Amino acid sequence: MSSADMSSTESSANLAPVHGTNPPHSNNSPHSNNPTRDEGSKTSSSEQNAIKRLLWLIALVAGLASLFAYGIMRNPNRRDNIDSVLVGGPLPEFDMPLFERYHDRFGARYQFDEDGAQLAALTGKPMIVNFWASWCGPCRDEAPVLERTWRQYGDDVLVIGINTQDRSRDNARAFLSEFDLTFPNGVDENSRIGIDYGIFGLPETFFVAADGTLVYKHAGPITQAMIDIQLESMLP
Amino acid sequence: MPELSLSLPMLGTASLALAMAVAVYAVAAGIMGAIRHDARLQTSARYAAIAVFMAMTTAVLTMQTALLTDDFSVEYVAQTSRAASPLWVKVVTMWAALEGSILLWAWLASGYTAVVAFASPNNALRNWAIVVLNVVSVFFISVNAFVANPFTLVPNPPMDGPGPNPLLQNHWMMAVHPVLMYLGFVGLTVPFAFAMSALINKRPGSEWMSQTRAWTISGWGFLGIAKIAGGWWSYEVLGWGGYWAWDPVENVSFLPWLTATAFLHSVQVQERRRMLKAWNLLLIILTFALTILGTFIIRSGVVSSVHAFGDGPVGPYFLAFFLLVVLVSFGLLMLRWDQVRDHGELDAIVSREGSFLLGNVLFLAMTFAVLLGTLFPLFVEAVSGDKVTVGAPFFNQVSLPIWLAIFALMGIGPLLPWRKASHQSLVKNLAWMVGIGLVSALIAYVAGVRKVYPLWTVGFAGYNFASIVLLLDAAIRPRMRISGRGFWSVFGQYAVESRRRFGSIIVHFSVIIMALGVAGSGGYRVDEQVRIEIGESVTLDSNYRLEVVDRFMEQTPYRVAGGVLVNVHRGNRQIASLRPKINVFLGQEQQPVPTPDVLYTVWQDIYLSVSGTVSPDQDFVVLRVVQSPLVAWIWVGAVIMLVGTFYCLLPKRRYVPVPARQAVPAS
Repeated sequence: MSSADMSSTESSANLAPVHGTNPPHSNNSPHSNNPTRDEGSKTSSSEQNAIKRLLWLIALVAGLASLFAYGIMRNPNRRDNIDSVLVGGPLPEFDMPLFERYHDRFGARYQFDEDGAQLAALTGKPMIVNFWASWCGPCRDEAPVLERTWRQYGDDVLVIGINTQDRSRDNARAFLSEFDLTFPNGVDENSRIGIDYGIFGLPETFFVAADGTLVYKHAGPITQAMIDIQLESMLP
Repeated sequence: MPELSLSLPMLGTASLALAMAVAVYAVAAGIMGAIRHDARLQTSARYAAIAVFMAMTTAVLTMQTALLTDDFSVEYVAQTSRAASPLWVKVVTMWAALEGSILLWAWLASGYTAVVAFASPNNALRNWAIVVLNVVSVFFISVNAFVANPFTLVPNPPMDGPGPNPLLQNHWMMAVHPVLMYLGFVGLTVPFAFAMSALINKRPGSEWMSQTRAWTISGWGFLGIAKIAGGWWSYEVLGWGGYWAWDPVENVSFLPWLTATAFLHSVQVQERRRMLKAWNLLLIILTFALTILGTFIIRSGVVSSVHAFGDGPVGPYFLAFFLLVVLVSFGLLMLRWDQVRDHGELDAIVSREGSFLLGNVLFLAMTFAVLLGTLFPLFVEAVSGDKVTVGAPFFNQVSLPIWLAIFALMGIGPLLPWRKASHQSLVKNLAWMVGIGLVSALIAYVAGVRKVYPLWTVGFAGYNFASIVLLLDAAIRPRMRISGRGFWSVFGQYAVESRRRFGSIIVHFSVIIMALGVAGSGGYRVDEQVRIEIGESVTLDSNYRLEVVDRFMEQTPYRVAGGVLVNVHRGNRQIASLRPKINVFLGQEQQPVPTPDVLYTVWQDIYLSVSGTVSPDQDFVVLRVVQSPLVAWIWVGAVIMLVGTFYCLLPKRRYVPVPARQAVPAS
């Protein structure tokens, strides 16, 4: 084995990107190569190289800056959409207490089991299940959208809100009155439903067909356009 | 409190402002002192660093006072503390949320700066190093002062607060893990500052690194131990039975450790052979920059993570600082490129320096892979708008071969001489190592290990163990021959006199132990959910029998816990009683926290966590049972690693041979 060969390959693969452009004299003076003292052609060429390297650096920093700026500009509370394994299958059952303001119209609890919704008037309809919390910024953005959807499609589609991982019930109640949400909202006690549904972050919205299978799951704030597209395919 | 003229929010904000002002002065005085060669200004900057530390100490003491006296007029206390919490929880609540942990970081940064200002010898590098350290202090103090002030006044203070995040108040590790992490980050800032100073002063030799060796080793040690402590914490506290998930938050704090490890090794090449100057500067700059980048990623929520939190303006603020650090430090490196380029050449790739270089390349490859995997979703979304996720399979696939290569190199590297290895000794050593490696892998195979990576790991563990024996043999046998003394006497002398060398052997040994732990627990973990009626028992495949004896409730002023008492039997013998439970903390009723209970044994951990609820009207319990082989080896290895790291740092002493000679005439 020729270790000499290997060492020469190693040195030519040196760290300096400008190796080829530099005349070999820089190697002759390993210890006196103080660029401020040298004048003339070498200084200007090494200055040029320095400028070239700095430009590379600035390009790199600008690239990083724009990537991260993009990352910050998009919603900081958004969560990337992660395909739910539940899509296409039946959704897990749950049973939750509703907030007091809905008791008169919907009863004290909402139960979702294999027969579909147990709310008398609302059985056998497609469903939009929305997970939210009062501290979650994007939830505030989408609450009016959901309310509008409910007012518009309420006869054909059940919109249901699940308050999960909130700081306190009072905060959640304040949120409900602030947006005057009239579709039923309940509490995910012990975060059980969120775990069953594989919630990754808040908000998340599940579109459920009339037969109880999950059609689509959306992570992050939802827009009217997305809801319209989904409902178009779900409604007869 | 109208009658009190000095309130804690005021005192805290004032000390932050004072610290900020003095730190800015210290930077200015340091720069002016350097430019004008004015020793008085430089001295003034050093004293200012002490003043900054004192002002920050006041801020920390103010925060502690506010926490301990339940002063909810301080916003941070109102948001994260609770009157009913035990004393230690209140103390550590200081770093349970963003504002307070920045306060801790800023305090430690100013403390290290003050120590450097006073303890480091007066030489050409000191002044600019202190300037750089002060700039870092200015940054962290300004985060507290401008964008995340923990001392904001609450005009109508609440009677009580919600308490810290339940996941945090559950375990004493909360007191330890963050502090270790910050000690690591801050410790590695010191070599960075001296490296910058070396570049500014046009002295890119090895003085900057030999002066900061202790800081580098201790910072690296703290960072590594912090990571493992974090892994153990999540194993003990979180209900999922694992210690590492390749979550972005874990990844980004892993990055500086990787570059720091590469740095720790390659500085030796520069010290010995005057090579890799640019490389070392690059590594220490990367280490510091990645620390800031990681904090940015964690705090900005820019990458989706289980623990990501968008914390408002703090993210962009860190981003700006990160870009500034990259621009200035790499810019400086490029300006000085002609001085830092290597003029020496590698004599042979098969040499100590060759193996260090290769190891460095592997560590950087790992850094790049982890960084890429973490940022890839963001990149794809920026370019195409698609959302993708990069999960554990990617990281495992990429990192396991690199780990194995590093593991292989770790065995052979220290046995290679500097400059050029002679073939004979190399072949002989390798034959031993490979032979023992093969035998170990064979034994593992016969014992039932059939998975590829665990088998390789066992093989390389044997190979590395042989390497350590050969290393010690090569060091001790000649000394025994020359001195004529016995093995233990020579061994003791070697251990005391070659501290760094011996310490590194201990650390490498700990890596073997931990690698086996990772291979066992990663390859052969069994995770199942078992439903057991109260009073009944279930036998697992591994012949352990779990008997659920009873339910229990525990109540303290701030916590309610419900759990089950489980007896673990092996054969006919009861070997342990475990008490996994679910806690609900006052004020955090929505987020119950399971406290798993773990039976630690040498070969196999049995980890029980209650899934679902424990309630009096329910006659069964659902337990998550995780059986992980060899997990305990990771924790034991970590302790050994800690010992080895700090063994390197003990002051040098000459070995005094005690017994033999003097004992003989007496008898």
